[in-house]
Parts: sequence; structure tokens; C-alpha cells
Amino acid sequence: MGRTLLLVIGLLFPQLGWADSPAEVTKRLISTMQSCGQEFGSPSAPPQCTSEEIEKNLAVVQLSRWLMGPHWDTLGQEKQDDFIALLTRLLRELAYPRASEFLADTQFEYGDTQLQGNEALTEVSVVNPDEGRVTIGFRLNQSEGVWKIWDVRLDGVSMASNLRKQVQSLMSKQSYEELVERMQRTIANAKTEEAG
Amino acid sequence: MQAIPPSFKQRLVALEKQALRACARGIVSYAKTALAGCLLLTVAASLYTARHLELVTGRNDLISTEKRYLQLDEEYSEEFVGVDQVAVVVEPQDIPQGKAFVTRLGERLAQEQEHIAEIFYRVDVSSLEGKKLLYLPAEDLRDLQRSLEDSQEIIHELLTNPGLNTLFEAINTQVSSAVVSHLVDEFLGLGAPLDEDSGEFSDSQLSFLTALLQEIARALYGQDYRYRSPWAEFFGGTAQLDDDGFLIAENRKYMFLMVEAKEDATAGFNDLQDSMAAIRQAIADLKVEFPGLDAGVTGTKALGNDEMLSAQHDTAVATVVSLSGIALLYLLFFRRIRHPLFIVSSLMIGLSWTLGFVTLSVGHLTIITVFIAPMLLGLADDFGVHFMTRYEEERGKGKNQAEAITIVFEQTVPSIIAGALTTSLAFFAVILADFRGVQELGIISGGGILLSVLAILTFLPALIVGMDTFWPWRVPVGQQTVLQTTFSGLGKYVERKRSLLFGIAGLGTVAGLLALPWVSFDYNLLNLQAHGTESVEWEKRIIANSERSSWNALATAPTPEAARQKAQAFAALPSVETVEGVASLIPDGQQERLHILTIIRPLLSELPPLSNNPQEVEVGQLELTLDKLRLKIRDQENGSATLLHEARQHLLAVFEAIRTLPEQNVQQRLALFQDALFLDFQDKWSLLSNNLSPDGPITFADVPPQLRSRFVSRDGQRFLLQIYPKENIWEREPLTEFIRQLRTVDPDVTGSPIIGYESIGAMQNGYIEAAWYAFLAILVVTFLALRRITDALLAILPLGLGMIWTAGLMWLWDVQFNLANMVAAPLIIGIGVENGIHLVHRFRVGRGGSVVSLIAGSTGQAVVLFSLTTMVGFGSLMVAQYYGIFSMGLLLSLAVGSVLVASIVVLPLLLYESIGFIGSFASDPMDPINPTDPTDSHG
Repeated sequence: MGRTLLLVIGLLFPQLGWADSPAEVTKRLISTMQSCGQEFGSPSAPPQCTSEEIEKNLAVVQLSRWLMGPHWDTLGQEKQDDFIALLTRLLRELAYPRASEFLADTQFEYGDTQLQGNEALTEVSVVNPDEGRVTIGFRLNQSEGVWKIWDVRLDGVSMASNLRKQVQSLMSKQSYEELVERMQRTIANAKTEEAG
Repeated sequence: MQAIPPSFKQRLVALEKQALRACARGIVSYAKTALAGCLLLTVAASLYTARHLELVTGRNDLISTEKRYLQLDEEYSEEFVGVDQVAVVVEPQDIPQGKAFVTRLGERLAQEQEHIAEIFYRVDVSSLEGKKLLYLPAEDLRDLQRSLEDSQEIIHELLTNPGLNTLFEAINTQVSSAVVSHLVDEFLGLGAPLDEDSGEFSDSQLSFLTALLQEIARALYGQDYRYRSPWAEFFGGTAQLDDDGFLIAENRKYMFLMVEAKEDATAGFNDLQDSMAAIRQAIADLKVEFPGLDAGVTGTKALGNDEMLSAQHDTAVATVVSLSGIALLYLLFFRRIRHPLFIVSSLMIGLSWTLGFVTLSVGHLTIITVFIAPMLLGLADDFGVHFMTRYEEERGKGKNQAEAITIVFEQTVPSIIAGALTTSLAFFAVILADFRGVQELGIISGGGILLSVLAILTFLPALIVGMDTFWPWRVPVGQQTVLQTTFSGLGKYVERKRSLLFGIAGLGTVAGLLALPWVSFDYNLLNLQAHGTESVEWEKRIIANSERSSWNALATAPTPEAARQKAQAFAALPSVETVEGVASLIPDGQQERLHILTIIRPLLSELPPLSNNPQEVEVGQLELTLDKLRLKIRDQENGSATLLHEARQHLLAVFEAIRTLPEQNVQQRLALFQDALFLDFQDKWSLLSNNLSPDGPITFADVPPQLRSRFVSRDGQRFLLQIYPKENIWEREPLTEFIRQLRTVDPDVTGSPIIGYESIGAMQNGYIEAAWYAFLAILVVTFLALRRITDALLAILPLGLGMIWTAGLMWLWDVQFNLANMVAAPLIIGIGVENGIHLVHRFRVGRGGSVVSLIAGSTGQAVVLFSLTTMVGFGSLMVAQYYGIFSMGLLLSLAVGSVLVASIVVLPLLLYESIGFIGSFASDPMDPINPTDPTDSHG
């Protein structure tokens, strides 16, 4: 009886049974980035060092919506899609390579995960014996049974919150077009630097 | 055959001869009466001097009281408090230590009522309570506003949970925010956060963190750590308002205590000596209790006092050295005790008469004329030497006492009188110089020479005659002395090597002429002082640390508004560092400052009240937080790179200390540091909170009376401005420029820099004028004495050559003219011409002699002895620690030595070489100057 119940539950809610936990998602992301190191994105990089592999662990769509806040609904589907694509490109060009480089030579001390409904916070202490330590908090959200990271906190300071403040400030003081233009310019600059 | 009537000149000369013979006869006949008369006059002069001679100090006493800047300075000194006080400078290890020391010193000096009139070290600022922040410039207030806005989270933690742990956690959070903000800015291509709350770590916060970490490192490592506040970086200028009214330098390195020392009019030359000694003793006693603290006195009065002390000490030593040296020379020269004893006794008689004359005519001595005693001893001894050597020469020839004295009077005394007249006239001529100090020098020196020669011509022969009964004169008749042999050898050498010596003299002259343009004047009065003089060292230390002098110029205005406008005009000058006055007591633009305070006020009102008790330091947690900071504070290539690097270095030091030092020590030291840090924070926070809501701008009524009396005259009609220079105005060029610029705003500006500038200029010009007047005077007198232009020119030649050679030697030995040794210029002219007059005169009376006989004769010997004693007299000044006196001794020794060489080598050669060329040297049987005594020769 008990086994039958478990099987039914497993069939009905497969993600509960097989989906990775917040800690595992976090570990996988860190492991991927650490193994890629400075080779991220280069032709000689291992197969797992692709943006797609990383993005499996990230809630980019959710993050995009959260960043825009009340402006999101006013954008319309096309601009929303454009913004998600732009943010993804920005993460690929700037965030992944730098994060990979930073995490390459460090040790990790994994802490506890705090769960609250569909929200989770996994803390990892990044330790570099010569440079010091920093506590990085990964905030995850569960959607459709899958945990994905949408925020990183540096010693308690949320990067997503800071980004949201700046984005909204830019939208209020200037315009969506200005925001997009700046993001595109940053991508272009990053590519130029990479090529140089 | 009708006799040809004698000419006027011949009658005059005959009259002169008769008068001299009469004098000689009178002295011989009434020796005891003359002695008694001289001694009686000496006693009277000494008593008069002791009762009435005054000693005045300060350079102001050397300047004519009619000078406007001097009158104004004296007026300001009377009308405003503290214009000319002694400054005690304290260099503490930290401000609390300095406050404790200054308070103790103030209390100690308050007990010294005999020496101290007033002490000022702390202003009672209670009348400014609530308004102190209005003293901060608007820019500082804005910085404070920014600092409070940037550090809201940190301040919140400090107020609610004071402690090192929470402080560093708050800092770490702030740094993390800054790092995140930086990443996000980069992400969005922003130069700076658009949202003000997005977090950044400002330079002022980084400075505070650096100062904090530095202090913790000091606290952890230092065995005798003394707390230094790092909050100045956090609260900006507010920290300076927390000085409790103590006088603290802008650089926070020095503290000051101002003392009005009592002047003791009966103390003689240095009327501040006892008061200064009392202050210094109090400092020395207290310093022992404050390890690491240094303190000393400076300021115009202290510098003047030290200068006087040095001068007094050096003069006393120099007089002893001079007398000993001269006596030794006399003993070597005469090889008997009688000669030096008689000459020195006569000089002392002359000196006492001179002092009586000084008292009667001038009434006082100054820093310039205080050297009259060693100077006169050096200058007037030659009269005695000439008299004694000639007397001995005549006795050696077998003449009896009366005959020898008569010959001396007839043949040597005219040149002695001529020499004395020349020298005294040279000194009297300097009275024409437009500088009171130099004028007095002229009167005193000129009169002193005449009185000294009077003593030589009366007391000395009377003494010789009077003592002959008790102490008979014995001369080894016909036996050549060692001295004569030496001088004879010198004469032969000069005669034999005439070409070589002429060549060397010519080369020396060319070299000296070439060196003339390189001889310069050192205007820096500090360089005159003895090396290591306390007041000078402190003055230099202040200049080195603030790049400005303690000297300040003074100006006044009739109303506060006029004072404000004038202060602004002065402050706008490029050479002005700052202006202190009513404007600094009642700041400008208070409405703007009040407005900024209204912006700051809500920032504090939103914060919780201050909690008193810091939590216990958790060392492990602190280490963890520091480790987190360590990762984020890394060297970067931007504007903050230096600050970041510095912060990181201190952070690593703290981190290392916590990891390596014994845990108990770390815990204990951090706890002590934390207590001090938060006590300090509470003080500063209270100051800030209590002064955020002033009930209006600062008005005159709010200004503490102690400060008001410094800038508002006693009658309330004048408002003082103290103007500080930007550069070191002890140097001439910055001083000249400073004063030039100040006078464009107010021609009546005064104060120590102006008085110094004017007095240096006046003294310099005075000495130069004096030298010219002296030169003109000796030209006239030398001509009158020798009555032939060629003779007069030859007599002056050694002086001219000697001066040129001296210029060369000054260049060679890197000696500059300065305010002290400039006096050498008129002096050497007065002294240097005598040699020439004596030698030319002796050459004429001893026609038919030779270079050897002129040098080896009594006149040559006397010239050498006189020059050597003068060199010893002035050379003795080189034992002085006071550089001014040392350089005067050096310069005069060089000059007298040069003139001596020119007199004893070049002049005799020229005299005998010129016989063939100058017809006027041919014998004139009617010339009564030429000797009629065929037995006379050069010895």
C-alpha cells in the first residue's frame, strides 16, 4: 500500500521525486563554472562549458520580469522577449566569464539551505587562503518543480535587488529604449574587449 | 739779511710741537696728580654708569620711533591682547595627551605670578554652545551631510549596538554594497549608480576605515599605545570642533599655550630671562610625566630672549678669551709683565670713561652696542702699544725717562692722535646713516676711541713715570731681542722676495675683485641664531610642518564690516595663507550654513538614540568579518588606489596580529581600544547632535571674551587682522613679496615681518651708508694728517687691498654678510686705515731707511702687534655659539688679517719702490714733519 502510494505520487509529481534540490542546483552551477574557469566560451572549452549548461540552472525569465517590476506588463510580448534575450546575452558576455574566472581557484564551504515555500537560500562560503573569504547566498525559486537560481547575494547584499533599483531608476528617469541601448552598448564593449 | 717769516703751516707745526713738549713735561712733572685725576674721573664715571646706564632689548629699539609701522605695532601691542606673547608649542602623541599636558602646564604657570602675567591655552566656548557647527565652512558641512547620508547603516549600528564587531559588520555590508553596485553599474554601462541608495563606499568612508584599521593595528602591536581618534575622517571638520577650546594647529600636530611673560626692568639686558627660565623649567618638569611628548617655546619674544641670552653669554666668554689672548700676545711680544699691565690698565680706565660718556650721551646700550667692551679693547690697544714700543725703543737707546717720553710725544703721539682721530671720525661719520642703532654705534665707538686715546696719553705716561720709583725700568741696552731678530728676518724676506710677493698680492687682488659679485647677504634672521637654539628649532619645525612661519602681519579696520572686507582682500592675495580676525570669529555666509543644517537635521532625527555600552569584542567573529573585507579591499588601478592600498596594508596588519598574538592580549587590547573609540564617538555624536539646531547665526555677543579681546581693541574702536604668509618669510624673497602684496591692500600693515623687513633693510643700508661716510671721513683725515695726497693714498692702500682680499676669502670660505657681521664694514674702514698712517708717517720721519728697517722697527712691530691683538679681540668672538657673533668675529679677523698683510708686505715695498717715481718724497728741509733728530732711525 505504501509502495503504491509512493508510485502514484511519483507519477503525478515527477519533479518532487527527481528534481534536484536547491543545494544540488547550486553545487552544479558552481562546479560547472569552476571547471570551465578562464576557458569558458572558448573553442577548446570542455563540452559542459556552454551558456546553455549554465542557464539550465538560472531563472532568467523570472529575473527579467522581476527587474522590470511594474514596467513589465506595459512592454508587450515582443519587447519582453527582446529584454529576456538581451539580459541573457548580457549574462553570457559579462557575468559567466567573470564568475568562472573568480571561482576557478577557490575553495567552497557549503552551508545550510533555508527553505520557505517556493523560495530557497543556499549559502556558500568562498574561501581563498591568500585573499580572504566571502559568503555568497544563492536565492532559488521553484517553478514547475524545478529549482532555479535568480539572485546572488554577496555577504547579504542582493545583486538582483541592486540591479532592479538601477533598472527601474533608469526607466523612470530616462526610458526603456535608453536601458536597452546601454545594455547593447555594454555587450558590444565586452565583445570588443574579448576580441582585443 | 732779513729772516724769512715762517709760513702758517710751519707756525702750526711748531705750535703743535711746543704743545706736545708741554704735555710731555706736564705729565713727567705732575705724574702723581695726573694719576689721581684719572682715577677720580674713573670712579665718577663708573658710579654714574652704574646708576644711569640702561640696557634696551629688541630690534624695535634700534629703529627710529618716528617710523609709522613701529608706532602702529606698539599701539596694537597695547590695544590688543596677545599680539606679542611667548608661544609654548606642544607636540603630543595625541590630542588627549596634549590637552592633559597643556592643562597641567597652564595650572603650573598660573602659580608663577612673579614671572607670568597671563596664560591663554583654552577658550571658554560655552557661549557658542548650539552654534559650533556654523564655524564649519559650507563645503565641510556638505561633506558632513554626504558622510551622514552614505553611512546611515553604519551609524545606525553604532548607535544601537556599539561595538567593533557590529561596526566592522556594517562596514563589510557597506563595502559589499559598493562591490555589488560597481558590478551592476558595469553591467548596465553606468558611470555611477543612478539610484542614490544603491550603495557605494566613498573616499571619506575609505579614509575612515584606513584610519580605524591603522589605530587597531597600533593598539594591537603597541606596548604603550595611546588612542588617536580615527573619527576625524568620518565626521570631517566636526572633529576639530571637539577641541574643548584648546588651541590646536590645523594639522593637528601641535598645540599651543600663549604666555604673557613679565618683564623685569631691573634684570639688565635681558628683561625676560627669568620669566623664560621659569616657563622652560615648568615644561621640563612636566615633560617627564608625558612620555613621547615634546614641547618648547618660540615666537618673536622667545627668539629675542634666546638671542639676548646667546649674545650675553658669548660676549662674556669672548671678553675673557679676548683679554687672555691679548695679554698672552703682549707677554710673548714684550716678554715682560709691565707692558701689558700698563696698557690694559690704561684701556680699562678709558673704557670706564667711555661707559660714562655712553650713559651721558646715549643713555643705553643695544644689541649692536653691547659689544663695546671687547671691541674697544681690540681697537684702542694699539695706541698703548705704539706708545710703549716707542718708549722702550728710546729707553733702549739710552734716553732717560723724561727724554724718552718727550720723544714719544713729539714723534709718535702725532700719529697716534692722527690714527685715533681717523678711526673716531670714521665712526662719527656713521651718525649720518639713517638707522638709529648704527647712529648710536657711531657715537659710542667714536667717543670711545677718543676717550681711550686720552687715557693712553695721560694715564699711561703718568703710570710709567709714577711707577718708575717703585718699579724701575730696566732695558737690556744694545742687546737685540728675539722679536727684533724675527721682524728683521721678516723684513729681509719681504725685501728679497719683492717680485714674488707683488705677484701674489696682484693675483689675490684680481681674485678678490672677481669674487666681489658673489659676496651675498643672508637675510634669514634664524640663521644668525646658535645652532640648536630651542626657539629656533621649534620655529623651523613649525615651518617644516605647515610650510608657514609663526610670524604674522597686523592690520586693523574701524568696523567689523570693514575688517571683514579687508580680511577678504588680504585672503585673496597669492602670498597669504590665512587671515584671522573678527571674520574668523563671526563666519561669513551663515545663512547657507544654517540651510545645510536643516538638511542634515532629519538625517539624525531618523536615527535611534545613542546607546552607551559597547558590546564585548568577539575576536573570532571580528576575524571572520575582517577576512571578508580582505577579499573585497584589493588594490585597484583607479583614483582610490593609494587609499585602497593603504587600507589593505593596515587590514593585513590587523589580521596578522589577531592570528599571531596571544589571544588574551588581543582580547584585552581590542577591548581597551573599543572603549576609547566609542567614548570618543559619543563625544563627537553629542557635539553633532547638540549643534544641529542653532537658534540663529553666531553674533558678536556669542564670541568668547578671551577671543574677542584678541581681535577687538580695548576701546572697541579697532578690529585686528592677523595675516599669515603662505611661504617661509624668514627668507628675503617671500618676505618682500608678502609685504609688497599686503601693502597693496593696506599701506599701514605692520607686525613682526614688516618690522623685521624694514629694520633689516634699514640696518643694511645704514651699515653701507656708514661705511661710505667712514671712508670719506678717513680720506679727509688721512690727508689732513699726512698733508700729501700721495701719502694719504698710500696710507689707505692696505685698507683697500685688505677689503678686496677679504671679499675673496669670504667667497672661498662661503661666508655671507648678515645683519650681525655687516657692522664689520664701517669698523674695518676705521681700523684698517691706522696701519697705513703709522707706517707712512714713520717712513717719512725715518727717511733713508729700508724696507727691513720699517718692518723691523718699533712702528712695524706695533702695527703687527696691534693687528694681532685686534684679530685676537675679534677672533675671540668666534667662540660664540650665536652664529651672528661668530660670523662677525670671523669676518673681522679675516679683514684685519688681510689689512695686516697688505700693510706689512705691500705698503713698505711700495713706499720704497715709489721713492724714485714720486718727486714729492724728496727731502724738504723746511718740512717740520721730517725729523730733525739725526739719531732717529727705524730701529
